Amino acid sequence: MSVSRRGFLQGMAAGTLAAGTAGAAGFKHFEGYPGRYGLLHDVNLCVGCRSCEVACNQVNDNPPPEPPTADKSVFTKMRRPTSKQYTVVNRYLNEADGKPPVYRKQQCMHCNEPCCASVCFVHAFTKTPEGPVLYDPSVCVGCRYCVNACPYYALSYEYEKPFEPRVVRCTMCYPRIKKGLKPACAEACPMGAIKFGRREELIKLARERIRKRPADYIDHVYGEHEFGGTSWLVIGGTSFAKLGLFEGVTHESIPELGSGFLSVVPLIVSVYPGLLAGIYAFSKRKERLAREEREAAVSEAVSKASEETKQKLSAAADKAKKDKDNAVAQAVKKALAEAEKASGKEVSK
Amino acid sequence: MNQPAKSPARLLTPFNVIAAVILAGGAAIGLLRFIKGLGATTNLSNDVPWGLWIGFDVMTGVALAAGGFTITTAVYLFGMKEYKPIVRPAVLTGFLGYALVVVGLVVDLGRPWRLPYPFIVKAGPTSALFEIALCVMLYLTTLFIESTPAAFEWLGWKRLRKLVGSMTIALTIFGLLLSTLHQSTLGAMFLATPTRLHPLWHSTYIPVHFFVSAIAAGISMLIVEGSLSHRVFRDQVEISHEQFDKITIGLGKAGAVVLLTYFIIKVMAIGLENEWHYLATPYGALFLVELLGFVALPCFGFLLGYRERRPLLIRISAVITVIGIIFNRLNVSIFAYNWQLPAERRYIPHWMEIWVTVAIVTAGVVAFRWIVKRMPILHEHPEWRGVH
Amino acid sequence: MTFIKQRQYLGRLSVCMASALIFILAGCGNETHGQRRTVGASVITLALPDDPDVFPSSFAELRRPAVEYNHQAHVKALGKQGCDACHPLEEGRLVPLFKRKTDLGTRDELTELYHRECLGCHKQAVADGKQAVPLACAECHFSVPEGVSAWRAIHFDYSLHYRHVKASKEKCEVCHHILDEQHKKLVYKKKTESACGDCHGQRDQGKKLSLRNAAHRDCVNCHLERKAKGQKAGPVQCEGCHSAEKQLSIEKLPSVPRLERGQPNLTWIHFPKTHTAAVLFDHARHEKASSSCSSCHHKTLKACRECHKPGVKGKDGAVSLEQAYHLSSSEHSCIGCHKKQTAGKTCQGCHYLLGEQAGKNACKVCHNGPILTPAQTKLPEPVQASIELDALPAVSADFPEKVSIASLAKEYKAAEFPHFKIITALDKDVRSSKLAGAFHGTTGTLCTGCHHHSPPGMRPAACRSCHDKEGPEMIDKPGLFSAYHRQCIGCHQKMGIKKQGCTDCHERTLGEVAK
Repeated sequence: MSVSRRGFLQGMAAGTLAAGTAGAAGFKHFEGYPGRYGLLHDVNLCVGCRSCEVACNQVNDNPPPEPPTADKSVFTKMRRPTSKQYTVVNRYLNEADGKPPVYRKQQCMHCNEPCCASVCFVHAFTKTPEGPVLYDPSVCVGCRYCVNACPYYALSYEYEKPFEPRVVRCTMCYPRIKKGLKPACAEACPMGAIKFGRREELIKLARERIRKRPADYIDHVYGEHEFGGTSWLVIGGTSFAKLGLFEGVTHESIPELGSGFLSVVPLIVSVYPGLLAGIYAFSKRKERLAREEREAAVSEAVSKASEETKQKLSAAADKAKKDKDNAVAQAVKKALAEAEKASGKEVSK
Repeated sequence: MNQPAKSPARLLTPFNVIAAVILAGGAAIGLLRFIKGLGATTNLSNDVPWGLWIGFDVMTGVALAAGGFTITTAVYLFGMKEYKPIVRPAVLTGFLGYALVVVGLVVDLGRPWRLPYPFIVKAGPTSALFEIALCVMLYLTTLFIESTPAAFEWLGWKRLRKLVGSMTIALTIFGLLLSTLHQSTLGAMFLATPTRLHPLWHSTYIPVHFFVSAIAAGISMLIVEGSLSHRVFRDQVEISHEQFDKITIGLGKAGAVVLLTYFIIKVMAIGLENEWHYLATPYGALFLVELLGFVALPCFGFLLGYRERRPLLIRISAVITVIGIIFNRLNVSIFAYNWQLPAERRYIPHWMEIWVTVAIVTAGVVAFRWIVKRMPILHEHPEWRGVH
Repeated sequence: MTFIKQRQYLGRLSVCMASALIFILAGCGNETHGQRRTVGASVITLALPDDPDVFPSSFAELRRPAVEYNHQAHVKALGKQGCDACHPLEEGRLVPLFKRKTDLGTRDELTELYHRECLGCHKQAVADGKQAVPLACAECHFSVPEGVSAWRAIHFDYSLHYRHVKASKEKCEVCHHILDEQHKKLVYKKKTESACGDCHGQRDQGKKLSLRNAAHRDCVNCHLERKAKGQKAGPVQCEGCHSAEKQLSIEKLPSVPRLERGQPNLTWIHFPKTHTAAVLFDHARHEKASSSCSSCHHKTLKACRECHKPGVKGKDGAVSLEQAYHLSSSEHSCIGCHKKQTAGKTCQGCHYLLGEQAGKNACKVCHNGPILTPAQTKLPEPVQASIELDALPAVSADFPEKVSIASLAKEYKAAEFPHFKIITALDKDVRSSKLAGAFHGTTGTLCTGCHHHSPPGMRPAACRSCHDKEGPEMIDKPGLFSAYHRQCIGCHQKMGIKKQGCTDCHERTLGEVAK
């Protein structure tokens, strides 16, 4: 049985397809480190004062935010975190609904199962048991896959540095948390729009706030489940899609989205050698059989040919002999006839 | 068939001069990149950290160098001996292609001296990029070894030549294994970015799309590169035009099948996630141009060329396919990526990025030319005629 | 060697490609983008009710879509023929139904009627050379994406009612009637007038027409008659009563005499054998504060207790009597209506943050009557007490003029809070509303607007007494820093006060101070 080229390609594609639907993690489910911290961002309370930006820059030794907080024209354009500013507040207009504008703070969401951690090929990111996702610049190669993949556009890169460029982002003030303090933004927010605490408790608090004022909140805690859940939870009265967040995304974490395919890799590595060696063996066997058949046909043809030649030769030899005998007989007859003629003439004299 | 030594005057051909200028400029920009940082020589931003160097040099380069594993599999594993004459140029193209992919990567990485870190310091095996790095490293080695028979014949090192010759089957199997993995994983990288890649290009089966299109790319590059070589290096070529045309037509047939398969799985991917309504948008138009103009059209071209025995049609279709692969990889990595960002945050390559890319391609062409004119690539070495 | 000609081949290929393209593109375009369309007020959806015995609902998908019938367009087209071109006459009055006098009939009968009459007229119109007249099934029965109807029910407030009183020369019997059960006749009986919808329901029930049919029959016919006589009359087209713009243009009379129907002025709301203090209800004042009787009497003009029974909820989701008075989410209950009054800008500054808590100490405001012992059975005569609002106290240490909020001053200087000025402004708002005055008679109640969780009447505690650190996660108690800003900025936001920026309330200290 030989596999045609077409059949091989189809079979391989089908196999990959089938295997790709299997998850790598099996049936187990990890809820995340218990007691880890999170932050609740209540968009109804945010007034866009940007004190969080000021505090964040101070704590991280970045220059003060540009433009200064008193300049409200900063909100005319949407901003994103940069290598010198790990968090920004944006204004989202709400004129269509006839409501006042809404402000939201944007920064690294410190996901439960971070996309950045799973795509880093030197394992430079770690999800700590306390909640924050940390970055280790001592191993980073600078491939920027994490910057490219983050669905919240939270990571920035130091393109201006030739020898020590780092990936930079909000760190949830991990050193401060370890000391028992709150992250700088939560400390600085005058409205208490950022509340720091244990994630499980914050979710309960968020639900309580929603229950108390159903007219002011959408009944959804954003970040509870999106892409596996994040440490930053957002609640508010405006639809999250209008606030620049992706709504309706899967609850599967991003690592889970890719793990199905990656689980096929060892399968390919273990199956291919045998499969391909087998194909090679089959094709070699086909060649060998073809060669043997060809040789057999040739020798048969040769032996058939030599038989025919022999027969032709003996027939020719017989014919030659016959011709010779005829010629001899003819010559004898002729000689006898002449001899008779000669003897006849002598008698008559 | 070695070339006599050239006098200095004969070295200053127009091609050499232009190539020298391009390469010198590329080297200068590379130096600048390492002195002043990526920000000085690229238009990369926090929103778009992967630009032309990753999108073209790495991703397209890997796809277009896929001729190597395609043809070695066909000749050595499936026993299609009539394609043997194009194995060596294909493997050489593959090796040079992958080598230049690594060059492009080194220029783009933030700290390229740390490239071995995933293997010797700290591994991140959850990452698709880890698997790509490992496979590309191993495959580059494989291609290098597969390229050495020609070099050893040229150098007259008979024992080594015999040794590497005996490894051919193993290397071919290893090469196909590694290529399946890293070609598809280049697509799997985008499984982690479901919101940033446009739904028409994103699919759970994007690894399969990338692998099948890589085969199509390999076949088409074999045709294009072979046709160019046969014209430019006519004095090195041993086989007749008729034989080469037969090879071309055979490759065209294979190309038709692969492109048809690719077309079907792309359409299926849209149906799977009910994305038909995206086709009526501007991105849908881009997708349709890619799918109909650069996949369906050359597929018919290949089919027609095969049936009518017209090598010219097959060559034209191959060129269209190559452009289509470039188009597809650039769509996935740049044009249809970050599709929801406003226009002012999108990316246009810096002229220095374009220059370096052109310099890398030029380096490949120059190296190819140097090797082909000296080593038994397009012809057999008289002492090794007919050997496996 | 070719098996078929090249041209044929190319031709077949192009056909395949084209059909593939059409097939792909057919998948798009099924979605509607953008906002939902608005359906005019004069568009009636002709949808027959289900007849479960005859037409099982499992065949629902096979039915043609309901017809969206534009009455206005037909009036324009057929106006010259008069209303009786489609509407039959009964005793000289138009029946507001199409070619029939009652709405009774099976689904099939009604379908046949519409098809026969509509298509008959349409065929005639086509024969007469008219354009754009639908004849094929799908030209009327086409599916459209769901729209938002512009139809608004007409609200018969006191002003509009009084205009009708004047028009009918105060003859209530022109519109109001009740059914004499014994003689099965419609009669008029004084002091039994009530809203039409109290008896006429959604559907025709025998001879008792639905509200829609009854109202159209009486209202439209009267308007038509007056119009024929050249008198000032109400609208006869759908839009005239049922479109929002036309409703806004209805003339509103500045003062309307009180409707006398034997209702009390002042009355007790009280239940025997209960321990609750009786509620003194000023019916007359509440009439002035509402737009029509049905603001409270939403089903009948009887007293609440005639329908709502005390105790737990009855079956079918009936509302108990306690809930009828106290349910804050209802528009008809006492509490619900009072709560709605606090939704304006003048009240929301405090009432938004307080939420449900605002009413916690307010029971006595309404329950201000005597508590009867078991022995007592009669309540004294209700007498309206005048609402005496406390005067604001003078400025003192207990009631400061300015409060310097300095305990957290670091990046910003102390905020000089104009305490007395704010209370005076709030006091002025209270005095401008009788309802507010009833609840905020004592100054202490105003204090609890900001000094929440403090009992009213005493010198309330300073903010920092309770707000020092943040409460544990589950308790939504902000720290002092957040408490100040949430209270102040929140109130300003709700009341529409412009001063919401940092330096509007406190100046910056010089230089940057790290926190």
